[in-house]
Amino acid sequence: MTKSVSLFSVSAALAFSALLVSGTAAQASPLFTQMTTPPTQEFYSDSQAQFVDGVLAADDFTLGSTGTIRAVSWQGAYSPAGAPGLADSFHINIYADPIGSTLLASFALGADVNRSAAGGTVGAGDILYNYVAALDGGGFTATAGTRYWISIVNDAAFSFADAWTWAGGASGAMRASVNNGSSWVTTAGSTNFALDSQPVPEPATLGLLSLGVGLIGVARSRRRQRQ
Amino acid sequence: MKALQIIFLACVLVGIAAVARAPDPYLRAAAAGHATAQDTPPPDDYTVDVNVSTDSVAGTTTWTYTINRPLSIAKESPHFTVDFGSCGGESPTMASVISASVNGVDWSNNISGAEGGTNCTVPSTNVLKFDHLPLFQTQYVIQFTLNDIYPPMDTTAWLSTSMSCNKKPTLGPGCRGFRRTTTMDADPSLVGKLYNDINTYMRTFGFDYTENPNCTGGFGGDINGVHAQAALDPFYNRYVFQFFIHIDPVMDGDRCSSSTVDRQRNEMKSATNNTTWAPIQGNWDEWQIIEWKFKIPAGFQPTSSFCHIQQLKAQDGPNNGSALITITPRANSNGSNKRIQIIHSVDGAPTGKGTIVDNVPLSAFEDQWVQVREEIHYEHAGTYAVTITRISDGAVLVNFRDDNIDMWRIGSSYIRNKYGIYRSLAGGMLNRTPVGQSPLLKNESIFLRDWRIYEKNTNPNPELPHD
Repeated sequence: MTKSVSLFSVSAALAFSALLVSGTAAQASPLFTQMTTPPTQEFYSDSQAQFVDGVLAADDFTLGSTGTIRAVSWQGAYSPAGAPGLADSFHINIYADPIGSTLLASFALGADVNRSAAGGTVGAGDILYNYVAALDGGGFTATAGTRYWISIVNDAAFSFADAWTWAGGASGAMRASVNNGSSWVTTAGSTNFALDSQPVPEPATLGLLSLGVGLIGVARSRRRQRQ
Repeated sequence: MKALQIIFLACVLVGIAAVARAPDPYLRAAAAGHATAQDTPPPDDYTVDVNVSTDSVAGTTTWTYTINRPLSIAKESPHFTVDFGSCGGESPTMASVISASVNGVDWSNNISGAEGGTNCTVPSTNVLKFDHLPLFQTQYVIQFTLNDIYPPMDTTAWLSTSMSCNKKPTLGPGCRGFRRTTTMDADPSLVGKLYNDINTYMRTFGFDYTENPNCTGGFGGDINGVHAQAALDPFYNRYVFQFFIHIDPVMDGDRCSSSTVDRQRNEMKSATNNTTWAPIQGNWDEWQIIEWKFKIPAGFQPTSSFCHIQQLKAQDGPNNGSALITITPRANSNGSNKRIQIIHSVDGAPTGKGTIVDNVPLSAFEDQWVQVREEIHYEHAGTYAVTITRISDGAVLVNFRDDNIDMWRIGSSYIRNKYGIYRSLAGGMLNRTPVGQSPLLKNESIFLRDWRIYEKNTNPNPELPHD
């Protein structure tokens, strides 16, 4: 029994290590994915940008079947600094169609977002980041065939010298608002985001995972010493 | 120890399960086949209106381009570029710019005289580019003042970023020292109108439409036929002139002439009047620029004989029989090798240069609007330059210049510019039955629009003949 448990523990640790390295999620449940790979365009979406008091970007989605969105992933960058300056303070809003008429859900994420370098750049060389965040309070249930709009904005006190931009593609149509949502208009572009029915790992879960892996190592070390 | 190992294993399994459920859309975009695409093509178009004001005291011209476009929140600031190269060495350059502004803000530190940093392929090396236009604007009022008087001429502008390039035909500063003497285009009010109304309309702008088959007597008259009309053009979505020449049901002739029975004519021209409309004509030692557009329908069939669609021709004097310059579609006798020619003639004098442009395939013109720009210096050691540019893709189909070419007729006072279809019956004679015209001939038409004529070195006595 001791031997079999040790082998399993080693296998599990290797598998987790592979997950950490690759980032692959084997059994995830995407509800909606919109991607331009690699992204070619950046759209301002932060509370302070040049000449105006905030720029909000939003894009639409429609699910093929009713589902609860518990996590959102997206890509972005910091411009023109190219790398994060201040702490993130993200905010996700979900609107009914047409956007601006009804705010259906609002999620203040703050810095509680998993941010990792995506391994590339966008635009004129800004570092591209992946973001993943869980939607608290049970998420948002979207009805099949209904058009919604999702807005992702970084509320941190950036200035234009270090604004946050949502990465995407140049083609397509999205909605945008300047002066903090006073009105929404159609603009050209397509943002990169995905909606998922499963939550992201909670920090506590990740801590437990790390603890388990660490203890496996300790156990293996002690066993070798006994042998 | 076993209990501890079980706890460890449980921790690992819980962690793996949680991580395995985390979304990672960046590696599985292709797996989202059930997602419904919502996006539509981007509204990335824009409009540009141009206003020009001239300060004749200061000798300056101020250009204002008002650009309206949908809101963009893309990171990149757009650039606006105007092609300044409409008139070669007589064009303005960046050094001609006295002041520049965008939305009322001084922009003189953000202009450049060369294209670069955008996604555009700009053929001209003489441009004015406004860099880093403000973000999040739906309107740009771009203004610059030039240090001399430059009349408006056709040119191209681009609104661009490193990701996109949106090209627009527009007006820009043209040739220094020239003045625009007339412009003309078709008007919706002409829809359904025939010869008389079209002629009346054209005379307002210094042209007339009197050489057509809408006549009686002689040969080839047809007062019931439609010889010209205002037609809605799908490319421009506006009305243009369409000139016809018929074989059926009535074979058109040459103004019902009883002598020139071997040809057909349906032409408009600069008005036959060298006092009021002298600025539209070419007079001795004057420089003139003639801009116009035409479209030859697909299937247009020339013969091996003449088929002029434009003539520069003396009105008076003893040697006004043949035109100085003709633009002519031509084919071999069997109808093949359809091409465009430009022919220079001096009415038998040895200085005639003959076919100066040849073998430009007619297929390059068929169903395509082209912009013609001719620059002429009316004297014996004169200048004739012509460029013909296809509108749809900017391809330059003809580019010719000769600065030592006889562009005058001895004893004449003015040279008219004429447009339409003036063709040989290619063996046919209207006073003969059967006429015996070339079997290649059929009903044809040509579309015409957008004349702009400019002049400099204006002759103060245009009515006087000159040898």
